[in-house]
Amino acid sequence: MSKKITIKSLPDPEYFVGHKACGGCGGSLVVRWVLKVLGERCFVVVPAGCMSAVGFIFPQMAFGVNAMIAPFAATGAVLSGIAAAIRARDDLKDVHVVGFAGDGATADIGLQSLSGALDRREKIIYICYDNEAYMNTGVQKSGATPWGARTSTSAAGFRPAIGAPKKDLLRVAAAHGIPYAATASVGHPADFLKKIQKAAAVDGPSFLHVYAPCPTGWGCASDSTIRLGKSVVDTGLWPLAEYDHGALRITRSPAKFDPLSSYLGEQARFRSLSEDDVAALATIRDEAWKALRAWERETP
Amino acid sequence: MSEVEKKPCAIAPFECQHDVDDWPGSPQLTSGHLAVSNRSWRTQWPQIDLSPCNKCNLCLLYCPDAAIVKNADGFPQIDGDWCKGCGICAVECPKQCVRMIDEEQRIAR
Amino acid sequence: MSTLAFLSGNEAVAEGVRLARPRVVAAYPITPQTGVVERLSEMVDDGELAAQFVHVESEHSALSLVMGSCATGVRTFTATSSQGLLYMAEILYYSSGGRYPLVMMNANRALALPWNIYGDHSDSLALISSGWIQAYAEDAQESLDMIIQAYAVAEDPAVRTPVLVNLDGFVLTHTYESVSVPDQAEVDAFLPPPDLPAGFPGTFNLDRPQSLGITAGPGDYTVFKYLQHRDMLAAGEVIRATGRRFAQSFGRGCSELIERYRSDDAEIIIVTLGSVAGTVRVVVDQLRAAGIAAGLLRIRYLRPFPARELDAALFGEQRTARVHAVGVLEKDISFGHQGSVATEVKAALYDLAAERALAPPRVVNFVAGLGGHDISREQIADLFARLASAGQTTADGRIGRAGAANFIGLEGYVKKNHH
Repeated sequence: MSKKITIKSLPDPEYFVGHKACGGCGGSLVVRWVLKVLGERCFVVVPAGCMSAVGFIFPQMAFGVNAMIAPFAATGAVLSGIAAAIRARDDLKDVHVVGFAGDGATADIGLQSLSGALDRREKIIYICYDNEAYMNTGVQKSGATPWGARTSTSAAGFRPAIGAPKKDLLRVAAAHGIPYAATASVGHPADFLKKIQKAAAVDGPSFLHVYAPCPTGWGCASDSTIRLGKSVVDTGLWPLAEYDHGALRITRSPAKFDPLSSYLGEQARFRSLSEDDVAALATIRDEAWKALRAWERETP
Repeated sequence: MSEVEKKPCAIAPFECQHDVDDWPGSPQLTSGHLAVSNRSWRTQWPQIDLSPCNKCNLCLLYCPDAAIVKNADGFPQIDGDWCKGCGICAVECPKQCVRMIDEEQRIAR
Repeated sequence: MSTLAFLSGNEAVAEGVRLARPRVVAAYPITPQTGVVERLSEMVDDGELAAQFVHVESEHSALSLVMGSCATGVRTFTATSSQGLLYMAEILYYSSGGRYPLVMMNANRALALPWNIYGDHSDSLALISSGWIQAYAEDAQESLDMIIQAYAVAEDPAVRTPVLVNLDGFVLTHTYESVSVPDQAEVDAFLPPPDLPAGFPGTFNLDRPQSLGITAGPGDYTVFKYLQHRDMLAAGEVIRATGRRFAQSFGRGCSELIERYRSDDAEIIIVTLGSVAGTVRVVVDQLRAAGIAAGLLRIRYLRPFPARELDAALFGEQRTARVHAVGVLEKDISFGHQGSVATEVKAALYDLAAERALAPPRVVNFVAGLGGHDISREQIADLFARLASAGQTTADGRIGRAGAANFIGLEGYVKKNHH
């Protein structure tokens, strides 16, 4: 991977074909792009979740590279085990060790093992494809479900008493002091492809938190995936940023945000939001951006 | 013709014997072993009009199913085995080359 | 040439692991397992063991991690105990289903609540159906020997099933004994190389990429589970063959899944497992000296269940006396029923007796040693006496009895509370 890969030069070989994800699935697009960039010398770990459920149904194997389903809570640990074995062997040093975990497997049940892997500075690429709920089990609320979103376990919309942004996985990863952590969105492939390559190049753990729409779970059209991936950035709800060797950099800084209704409006999961709710969400967003910009200023 | 043409055996039937002794030694299979097409999933089909196409290949990029491939001339073609008819290509094509049409009618034609 | 060393059970395990040359060791500390992993970390630091030692954040991660290493084709080791074993319970089933040839040591310890750090078998017996081969060592020497053999068994292409080697917490893990430690060259000759051969099932392959740990629908799932069961059953013969080979190479050790002690002419027999067998053996000798036909069967491997050996021990042609009664002495209780080992023994005898058209001997379950409670020679002699009277309870008929499980060691407490 010496030459820079761009949208134009994205290699032809495909390593995620024939999977059983729903039409328009953002998570499967994340997997597909990452593997196109990293190529065939990959050991992939996928915990229980959508991508394991759709990619390994005997006898249909959608991954074209070496891949393995991990226990739900153990993505970081299984990745670490592979990384340790690679350290122990002489013949696998150029193999990428990459995990694709959903938001539940990352922000909730797998947070402990992710933390351990990051803390030990394992040479792994951890990718969280965030579709903001437990989609594989039927759209239950996760630690990454945004305020006000309807899920099958928050029928009236998930509304903790004090409005707050969802779990900030970029900060969680960065707090471990790892070399590289970033956010990305399927709506911004150029930005995402760059970040995949940076993640793959660092010596140590890297973490990518990628916005990945789920039309089935969100109640939106199957063709809206990319559009939402742009809109979530333009409305300021999903900042694109990277934490690179201690320095935080916002990689796309909208001069002004699109109205939230342009993003929320086409998703059934946000139908219960009142005008006041949307205004409250805008306040939460603005606070989050204030903090993010302060973080960027504070770092070298 | 914008659909990739394949020999009938392009999707390998499951080669495992029924005798359990011929089964994999652990719950595993060779990666990329494809036994079942997703052809029956879709209700819509992306009809591509190549005349305005400038080969930007954004349709190929954005396809979650890797169901769009480049033909020998670099133009996009749909792989009918994997296209689920989600319509992302139709929405994202900057030249509006792709139109989603009813799959049943297309097959009937 | 082997060397003689004064080692605790934990240290003997560590020596066995060192000699097996695992490439990755991962562990999370829990009393009384800590001695093993502390020693292994020293060995790695000192260059005695060329392994990656990974400090993990939980037992769940420890076993998951070595499974990942194993999928990458290298030999591994981890160890745990009690709450830790149960915390990784999900991964025991996962890794055996994935057919990963892992080896793990378990320091048998009681389960909370109440908290108790001392030895009993509640932890490993709770996971008897998890698809792991279960071995129970009696002393430090056997602990070392079992660890080495465990790798040979687990990695045998016909088995490919993980092995759990159990040591009684404290009584065995922390007790020092004289142990013969083999030479590295001898163990190298005994074991396959520490890297699994290319193409080994359940491993990645860069020439022909593999999808591992897959999903299977009901019918396909049944086939994978049938194969897992079939190969676990076949492991019995591999364990015996490995034991015989070990005895040839190192000049010691039992190769059977059940060790018989003065049992062929015994009329009353105690079946047990782990370190308490040593005390039972002493009592058997005492009773024999007094002319009482007592014997011992020590279960070394509880999975695969040694039904064939139980049959041979109790009904085989070598027997010179009929078995009057069998006592199963075990350090666990399956609440609301009886001890797990007694249940296993009774179930096997039901089938075996039916096959032989014989009435099975009376089997009495003795539950003792819970939470590290000492089991004395006097108590064991009393159990034999109860077996001699065909399993009747003690004179007051109530003490230490609860259904089919006879609780041993309640005497003082019951009197205090009820009189």
